Order: sequence, then structure tokens, then C-alpha cells
Amino acid sequence: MGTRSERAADGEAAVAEDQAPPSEPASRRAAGGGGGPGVFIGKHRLAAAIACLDQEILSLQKELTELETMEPSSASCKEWVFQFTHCSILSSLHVCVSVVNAQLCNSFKNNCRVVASTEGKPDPLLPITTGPENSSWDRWFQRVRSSRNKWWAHKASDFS
Amino acid sequence: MSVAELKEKHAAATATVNSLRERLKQRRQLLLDTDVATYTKNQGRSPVNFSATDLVCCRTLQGHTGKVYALDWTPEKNWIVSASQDGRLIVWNALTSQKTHAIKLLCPWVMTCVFAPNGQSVACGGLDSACSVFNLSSQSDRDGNIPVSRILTGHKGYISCCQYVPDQETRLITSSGDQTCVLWDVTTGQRISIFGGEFPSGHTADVLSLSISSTNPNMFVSGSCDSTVRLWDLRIASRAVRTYHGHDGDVNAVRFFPDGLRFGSGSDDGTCRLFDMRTGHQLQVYARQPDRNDDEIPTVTSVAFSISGRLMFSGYSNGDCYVWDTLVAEVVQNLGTLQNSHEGRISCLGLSGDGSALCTGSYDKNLKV
Repeated sequence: MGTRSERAADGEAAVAEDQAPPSEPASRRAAGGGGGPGVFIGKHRLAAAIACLDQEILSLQKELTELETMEPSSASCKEWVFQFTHCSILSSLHVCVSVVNAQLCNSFKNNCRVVASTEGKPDPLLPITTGPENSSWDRWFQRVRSSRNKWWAHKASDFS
Repeated sequence: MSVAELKEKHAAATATVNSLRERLKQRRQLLLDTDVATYTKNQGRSPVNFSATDLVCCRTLQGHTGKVYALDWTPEKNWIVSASQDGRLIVWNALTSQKTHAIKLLCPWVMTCVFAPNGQSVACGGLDSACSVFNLSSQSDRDGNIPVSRILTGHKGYISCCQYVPDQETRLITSSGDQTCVLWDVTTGQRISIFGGEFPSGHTADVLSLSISSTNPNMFVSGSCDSTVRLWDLRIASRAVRTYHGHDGDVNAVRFFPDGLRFGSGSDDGTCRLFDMRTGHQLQVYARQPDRNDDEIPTVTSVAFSISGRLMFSGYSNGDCYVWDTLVAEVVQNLGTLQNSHEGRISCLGLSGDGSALCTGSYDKNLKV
């Protein structure tokens, strides 16, 4: 069994074994008719579908126009790597954002304002990381006294 | 206008859409002049260096009697909620390995679970096409089961993923096999917005996962069997803000990068990818080296980033759990080969709130921290 969609399909097949097959949807029954209500439903759905496609066309044209002036991926890569490199250094020097605002150019300020809370963040899962050590990171390696209670602990107890 | 004329107009519009999509694809290809790894390596940067003992398994949470399908951490406490094929949610104190709650579900075919931001409630969903919310402080019934607090009904297909809007106990987003995502008011049980569907432009196949930006909670991305990821604005349900192409198979997992401006995705095509949310550029492909032992390409089931974003964790259908250096696109560790690792497919994974621990869930019925 594979991904979520395959799991869902297998599950649905198992659940639906005892169920009656679904009845044909009303729209399918009505669509092929020559006149009357069936034609109205068909025209209505077609018109709605065309309106949707027209919106899609506008959206795609807008995106194409954006791409005419968009910078290549190298610019995005450069911005991201820059943020990793420079804001990590700033974080390790404990430079606060207010100092950055006062002294540095706008684009650098904006980059660091965005990522001072991310790439500059001390990362407990890295072998070497920036910033001061946080002793709570080591709680996973400390011995924990196990309770002798049954596993469905009382609701009122605080386990945090 | 007659039906025949409308059909002609529909065909013409469809052809225009297809032509524009092809032009967009070609234009984007021209703009892909490099990727993050190439750029970084040209600067002489080397990968993170892990020793054999830098990442160790320090807890095995045993108790489920079926495959583990989903897990989630509380934002601040050390609690984990997991969902399993055994039809139960279990809430664990990950520090002590104790089970604090075991919730027997009305529908055993659960596929996703999540903690509310305050850690007082959990939500789950699956083949019942509904999202059930349980208050962990509720009084248990005679059989020891917690009653459901709210059932969110309206989807016409299975619930594949659910996430609370950050810091909002009353708003939750679900993704579904009915090709839509829905924003719910948990208090009233009402749908606030529907993203996608037959006429509003959206995914054209089952939606399998979603992730909400932590820095801009109005934005979320969804991954689908239509091989795309789409960006949505909670305030504008009429159409996706942007569609990200690149994967060649179902997108099983999406996760925002910590800065909320990029996101990672994992797919049946065996790759993970990093996209720039604002420009739509595919910044990097994280592809496994072919392995002679693989009968077929292992699919990516789950992705998560470390708190700094330098590491990306990806779970695979063959039990591997790769740790990628996101900057140089190299695998720096495979948790699946460590001592005491899982014995089956990794189905889900997630980082604790402070980033100090990774939890993985598996078809071997266990969770590991």
C-alpha cells in the first residue's frame, strides 16, 4: 500500500463492500437530452465552465506578464543563501535588530528582519550552531522517573 | 447561445488555456539558470558534518496496534498526538513515554491528526469525510472514551490533512480527496471558505497535504495528486494565488520553510523540492541516488525542516529517513540506518516546538523520538 491516495482507495474499497452502488448523478442523466430542463442544466454548466476558463486565461496571462520582468532563479538562490550566511553571523555576535536598523542599508535590513528569527536561530539538531546553549535541549537525554500509575493517567494531572 | 456554440467556445477556451500553460512552462524553464546547491557550492561551502552519535533515537513510543499514519506535537509542551490504523488517537508525553489519552474513534479509517494551538484539543479526519474535534479535558464515558466535541461535515471525500490556523483555536483548515481545502469555524462547525472545487479554479485531483505559513498565517499551500502545489490566501477563496509545477507524481507532503517565504514538498516521484513562494521558482530538487536494492523508486511520504531550516527531514516508503543539508542538497544522515531505527515505512514526522527533537511515525506501529 502506498501513499495517502492509495491508502484511501484501499480503505474505501474495504468500507464500500457492503454498500449499494451509487445511483447515476442527475446531471449525467439530463445532459444528453434535446429540450426542456436537461438542456437548461447542460447550458448552465457549460457557461459556468467557460467563465471559469476565461478567469484562468486572465490569470495565466497575468503570470506570463510577471515572468517577463521577473529575475531568474539565481537571484532567489542568492537572496536565500545570503540570509543564511549573514544573519547567522549577526546572531552569533548577538547584534540586536535595532542596531541593524540604525546602521545598515535597506535591503540588508529587510533580509535580516525576515530571517533573524529563522536561519539565525540556534538549531539544537545541528552539530554546531549559533547562539548560547539552551540546557532544555538536553532534557531528552536525562533520566525521567517513570510513574507506577496505569497508563491512562488521571486527566487532572499535569504532565508537562 | 446554443449548446453547440457553447461547446465550441468551451473547446476554444480550453485550447487557449493549454497553450498559455505551455508558454508559462517554457518561460519558467528559461528562468531556471541555477539552483541553490550549485550556487552554494560555487562559494566553496561544504555540507553539515554529522558524526554517528549526533542524532540518536532516545524514545520509542509503543502502544498502537496498527500502522501509524500521522502525528503532531503540541507547540510548547512535550506532547505528541498520533493516529493509527488501529482506529485510535493516542496522546503521549514524549518526555516520559507515557500515554495520557487514548481516543477510540467512531471511524477507524483515520488519516490525519493535529493539536490545537493551546494543546487542549485534538482534531482528526479520514475516510468518514469529516473532521472530528476532541477536548482532552472532557469527562470520559463509561468505557473510558472521550466524547467528540464537534464534527465538521461537508467534504465529499476523505480528509487527508488538517491544520489549525496558528494561534487560533477556532479556525482549522482541512484538505480532502474531493479536491478542495476548507477553512472551518470550529465553534459553529460552519465552513467559512472553500478553496477549489469544480468551478472555482483549484486542484484537479485529490488534495493530500497542506501547510500554513507561520509568518503569514493568511497563506497556506496544498499538495495534490495533480502533481502541483498551490498557494492560497485565506481571504480570497475564488482562486489559487499561484500554482507550482515541477513534480512528476502525487505531492504527498508540503511544509513551509521556517521563514514562511519558501516551502518544501515531497512526492511519489521520489524527490523533495524547495520553491520560492513569491516568485514561483523551483530553487532546488532533492533527489536520492539510485539504489540497486530499490525495486522501484521509494516515494516521499513526509517532510519537515529543522528550526533554522538548514536541515530537511524526509521520510520514504522504504523506511529511510534522510536528513538533507538544504543548502548543498546532500544527504548528511539516514536515520533509517541508525541503530534502533524503524522497521517499516516512515509515514509521518515532525519537529518539537523548540526544534530539539524529531518524532517519526511508521508502519511498524511505533513512534520514535
